[in-house]
Amino acid sequence: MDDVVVIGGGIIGAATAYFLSKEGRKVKVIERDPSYKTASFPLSLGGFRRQFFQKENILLGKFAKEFIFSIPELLKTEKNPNPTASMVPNGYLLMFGPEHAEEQYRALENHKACDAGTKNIKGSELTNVFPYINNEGIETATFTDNKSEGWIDPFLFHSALKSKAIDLGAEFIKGEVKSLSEINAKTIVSAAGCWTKELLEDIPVVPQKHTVFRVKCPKHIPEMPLTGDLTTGVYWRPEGKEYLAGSPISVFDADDLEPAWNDFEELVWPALAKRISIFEELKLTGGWAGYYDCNKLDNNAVVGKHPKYENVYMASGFTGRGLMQAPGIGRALTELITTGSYQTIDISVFAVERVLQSNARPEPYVL
Amino acid sequence: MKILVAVKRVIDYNVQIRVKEDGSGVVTDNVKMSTNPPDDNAVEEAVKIKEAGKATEIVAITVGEEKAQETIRKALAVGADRGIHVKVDGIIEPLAVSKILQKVVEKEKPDLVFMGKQAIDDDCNQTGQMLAALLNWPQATFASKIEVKEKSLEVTREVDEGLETIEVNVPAIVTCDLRLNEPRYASLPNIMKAKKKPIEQINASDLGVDTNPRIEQIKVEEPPKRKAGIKVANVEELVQKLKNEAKVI
Amino acid sequence: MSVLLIAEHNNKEVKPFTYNAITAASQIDQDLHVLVIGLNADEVAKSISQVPSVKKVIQVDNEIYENYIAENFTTAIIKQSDKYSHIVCSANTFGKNLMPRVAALLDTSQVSDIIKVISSDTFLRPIYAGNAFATVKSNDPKKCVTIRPTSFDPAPTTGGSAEIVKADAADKTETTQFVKREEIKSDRPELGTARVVVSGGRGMQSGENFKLIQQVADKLNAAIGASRAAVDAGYITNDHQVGQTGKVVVPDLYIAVGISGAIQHLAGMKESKVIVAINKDGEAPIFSVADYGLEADLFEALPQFLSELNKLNTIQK
Repeated sequence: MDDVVVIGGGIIGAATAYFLSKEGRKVKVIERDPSYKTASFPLSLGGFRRQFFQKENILLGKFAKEFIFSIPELLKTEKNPNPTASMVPNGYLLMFGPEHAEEQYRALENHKACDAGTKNIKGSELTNVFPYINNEGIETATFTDNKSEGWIDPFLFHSALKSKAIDLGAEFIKGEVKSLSEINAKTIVSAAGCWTKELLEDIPVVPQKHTVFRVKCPKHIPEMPLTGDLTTGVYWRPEGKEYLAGSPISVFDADDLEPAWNDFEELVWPALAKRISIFEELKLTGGWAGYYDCNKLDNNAVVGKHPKYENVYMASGFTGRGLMQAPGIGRALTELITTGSYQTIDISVFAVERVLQSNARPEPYVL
Repeated sequence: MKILVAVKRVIDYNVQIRVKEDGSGVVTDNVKMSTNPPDDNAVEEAVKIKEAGKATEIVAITVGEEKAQETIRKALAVGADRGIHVKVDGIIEPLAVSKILQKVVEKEKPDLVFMGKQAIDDDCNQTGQMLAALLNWPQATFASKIEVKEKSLEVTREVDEGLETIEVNVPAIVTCDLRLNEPRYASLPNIMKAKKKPIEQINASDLGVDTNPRIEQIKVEEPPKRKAGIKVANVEELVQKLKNEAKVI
Repeated sequence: MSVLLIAEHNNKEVKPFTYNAITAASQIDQDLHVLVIGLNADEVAKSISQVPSVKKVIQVDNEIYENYIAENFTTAIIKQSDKYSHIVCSANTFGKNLMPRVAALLDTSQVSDIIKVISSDTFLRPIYAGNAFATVKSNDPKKCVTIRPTSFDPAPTTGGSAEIVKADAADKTETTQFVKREEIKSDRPELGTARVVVSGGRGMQSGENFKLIQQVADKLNAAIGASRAAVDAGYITNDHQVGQTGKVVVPDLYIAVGISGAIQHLAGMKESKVIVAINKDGEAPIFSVADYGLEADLFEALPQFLSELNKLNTIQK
């Protein structure tokens, strides 16, 4: 009998394997596609932020930063002596219209309670800090400028976590698990992302296709933060000498990962040009689409022990936040499995029982 | 000098091409369409020549279905003065396109006709040369540099051996390579303005050109799938395989 | 039925692709004639007459053909075209420039860039940059066809003895003048269009070590690529980046060295015709797309690879 089997070797599976191995558990990770072609993490924008509505998400965001900054020491191995995730700590800027202002002020209370260090600014003063932004229709905005948010290379981060987990004794094998009953282990962790339903059919998590466009602009602002315009749902950040921009339009039940190209001219470009005048001149140079592991109940994570099983734990439903929450979730699951309760960040609000009883607890700030 | 620039609407080069299951062609429904990339270079070059004071008018022309007008609007957004849309539905071969262009050239009397060297959909690489033949004009194909002289053009051409320079008398046809220039960015406000500009529309049938295809497309299929790869034991074996099996070195 | 093939040459030697085109042309019909248009190109005509599948060589020799001008070549071809059912040549810059001009004057819809002869009127050709293959049938009485040379083996060059007949030149065009031709040798090919790309990843460990990549690239006349991780680590500038956020490349040969193969990288090179991966981690995803995978330490493999390449004398430029 195995000690721990983790089903799914994506970012959540790798992070969980790392933390469990560090605690001396013998972990076997089973992944059906080790090139991770349709996994969520490699197709994400790689962002890590603490600007959320709910305290748990804020705290997980804070831990992500701490962890990412410590990658060189934490994830060092003989094979990977200089681990990195190519971090760019440009910060985040989220902008809200009058319709979201009230909610945003309540979110700010949570930021304060969690000592998140975010800054709040009135829409009318936005151009004092970000002179390239058109503040029309912006009531309030939050941002960080102390290198506490930004983005990383998801694939490098995953590779470093995986290498370190292996170094600590974990085993990653290629294989497909069709049913939990195939596994004979003391503890089973389902980290199956978008495909959680294939193992646990009562979990309302489904793949949600999102498109990211790559654009070239004659003017470059390398210090631009990852910027989300909540009045349109469009978000963007610099990438090399170009920019990446995410579309707010998503699709369930998509047949393939072909980007929704037509959304660029119809929706994303007008939204970009309205907010940043240099974006009036853009050339579309590429794009891709990826899946969010969308929790259809409330866009929030589902983490914990599954009440219908003796030994099954799960983590899924991150709805686009899996990469940044992976360190916190890996640590939390490890605490739960090894001690029976959460020791650092209490994420019991994400418990599986919540989705089984349909107690929605929505996180509004999905980008 | 007056320049006519021919542009074609094609599936955007970013889009993953999918073949229809019945083998009748590729999927175009709900697929992003754009101007054929080297046609953008043709428009850019015309605009640059006009900006240099060596041309007075740029007319963009496209041949195709109703929506082909989008490509004219893109040309108008970056500096073309007016547009002509020759409307025709269904597959239209380069020979028929060049006959249509010939009719328009006879009416518009441009001094130069520019277009991309090849369309990225049918990959024919024919229209410019055919138009030159029908008009009995000189042709400068695959241009990567154009110098406008008094009554001629000096054109540097991208050829397999390197670069070739020829001089062609005006009127002439030039087909443009991607290396010719860096097309400017169309700005969103200019695209919006171009959407309101009128475009002259002509029905291909009114030009007296037979547009029926001469080539039957029997079937379209996916290219053969890549064979599963192998691991080689050492560098010697790798070089052997590359030389004798893959024949790439 | 007879086929007329237009030879490409420099008045002294036959250009190699002509032999590939001969193979394709002889599959269309056995009665294959080759037209040699040039100035003092007797040696060219003689070489072609020795190709066994060639039945006749027609030589048009005149000073107006010293340099290749499509307008002049076209009229010379039209003059010979009456007797032929097919006119063919290679689909390289020579044939692409010439054939449509011929086809338009013959009122023929040309079939470009064929990769297979199915019958004398039906051919296979790639469309959408090779993302689809079309089987097409030409219904024109006279057919103009260009041939993708690399899809056909070159014809044997000895053993034949076709007759060589001389023919008259056509009128000279006054509107096009040849100025010069320059062969480009020195520059490294551009990443976007290179026939061979050699790319390095984070496994290179330093910018200094990219010299190893450079040496192999020099030998293969290849462009140099890199993964995003190598660019982020500062080993090389970002105009070398291949992938979803860099360039998309489709070379004949792509060699990935020390690249693990993130999906973002694969998106930029997976359509390459032949992919080689050299990586010491046998589990690396790059091996899932590689035609030839070598599980080895790149610092040992690359110098060996270079020395093996130096032993070959057939590297195509």
